[in-house]
Amino acid sequence: MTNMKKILGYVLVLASLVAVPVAAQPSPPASPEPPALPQAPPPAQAPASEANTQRVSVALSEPSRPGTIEMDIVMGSIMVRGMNRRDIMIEARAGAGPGPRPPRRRAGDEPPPAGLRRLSQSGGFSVEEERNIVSIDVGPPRSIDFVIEVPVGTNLDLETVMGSIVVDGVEGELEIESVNGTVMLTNVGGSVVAHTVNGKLTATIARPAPQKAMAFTSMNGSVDVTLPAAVKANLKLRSDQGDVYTDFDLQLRRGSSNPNPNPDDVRRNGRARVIDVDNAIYGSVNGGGPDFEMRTFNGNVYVRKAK
Amino acid sequence: MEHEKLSRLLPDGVDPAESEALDATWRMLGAIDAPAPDAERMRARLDAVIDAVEHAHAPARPRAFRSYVLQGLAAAALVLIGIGIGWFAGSGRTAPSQALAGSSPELAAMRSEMHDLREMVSLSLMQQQSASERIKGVSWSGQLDRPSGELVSALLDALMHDPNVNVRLATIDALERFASRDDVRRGTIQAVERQPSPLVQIALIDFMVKTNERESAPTLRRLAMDPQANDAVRARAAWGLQQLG
Repeated sequence: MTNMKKILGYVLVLASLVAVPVAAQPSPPASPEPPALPQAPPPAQAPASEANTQRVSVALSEPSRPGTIEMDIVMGSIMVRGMNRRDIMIEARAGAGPGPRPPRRRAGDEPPPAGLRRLSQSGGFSVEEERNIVSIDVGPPRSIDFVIEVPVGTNLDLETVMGSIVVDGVEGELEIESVNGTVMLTNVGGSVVAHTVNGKLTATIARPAPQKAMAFTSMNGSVDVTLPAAVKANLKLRSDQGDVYTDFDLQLRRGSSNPNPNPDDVRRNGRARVIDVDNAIYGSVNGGGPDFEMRTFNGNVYVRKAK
Repeated sequence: MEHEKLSRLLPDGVDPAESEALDATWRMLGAIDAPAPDAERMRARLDAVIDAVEHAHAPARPRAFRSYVLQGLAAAALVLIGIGIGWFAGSGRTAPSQALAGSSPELAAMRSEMHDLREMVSLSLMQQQSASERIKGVSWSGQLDRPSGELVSALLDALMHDPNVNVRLATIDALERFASRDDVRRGTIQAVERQPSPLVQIALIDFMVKTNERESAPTLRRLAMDPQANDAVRARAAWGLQQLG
């Protein structure tokens, strides 16, 4: 069994002189928007007319077990949707680069000047599947936006530096990290460990896995988490420069899983001065459960009860 | 299943907190993936045991076979320890645990085994692939009253090297209880400058202030002057210096 290593590799290169005809792909009658944030999730598929778009579907070696998507990209946004399917559909299109951009002013959307045809530039991504782990890599640092459809039960390990991450309808171990982008999770299940440095983090956990620790943190954005009304958890909430809001009935307690520092430890060291800089709020909901940490430095923390 | 049998054995009037803690341990044991993630560490311990046995009883049987036998024995021992603890937990005690620990040497031994078991669970969780499980391992370590050096090193290691920001952040809370240990003081001071995450850096600066760690002053001074550092981190470092005065 150990020697049976099954590797499926796909290498896609966007460098084709003629734009790839994706018109054959079915396309929903939807607007040609890229993943628009932080409003409603965009359509899963790009319009048929989209140039510079690549699609590839990847089968899992063990479809009966949840797969894992691993991505660590520099530029570009990632959108993952849980669908009723067994394979993984990856759609990538050259993005317009980092930074805020008007939705309709993407390089790929502009009609070419009269008499000229557009040449796709080099760059691309590769996909590898090994024992249910699907790794997606982007070659040279180039902005590519991904829209990925996965089976509902899928684990995600997604990282991007310049771009947003949107996940909708996926259940599993979700590890999400962005540096300069928004993180938005809707209708997810399982466990979430998410962080963004300079963006807003919004998460609606519809089906939290029992006994799983979670964390939602940001440096410069608000953290807004919606949980089922019946969720059992020990919350640790903190905003250094903002406020913490909740409509849960929070049983306040100090040090849910970390009791107070032992004062003897401090005194033994000849240093009895105690400064309380920990303004975190510890509380349990519905009798308590696994630890959920919600924390931001600049921004507010919201913990909402799902209506 | 073992756990349910044990629950049935528990008589009325058992200290609910302890029973709950026991429950949690069982759940945690059940949740850990069968192939122990810290297999190497376990193997190292096992090898040490094997070596000891080898010295005592040469000539030895083939190594691989012995190691399987020992692994089996270790697993069986663990199950027995668990059952034993359950038995003792259910043997009708209602008084606070400390008074009881003194009342029976067997019980004290069992409690010590229980502690070791929990520590093993915590260490094992910290080695998991899943960040959620690692966070759980870190916060579990907070329930141990006398953690070993190994556990504290695992926490420091996670603070320095865990790829997930949220895991690193969680270790700072857990390490606070051991702030007077030299390795923790050194490790956390080192980590302040090496952290790539500003959120973790700020949490570490707060840690220095909270534990009144004056030896961190040179580090905080450098950080406060570092043009490369995040503005909020520099401001926090300056504030920290002032607090440590």
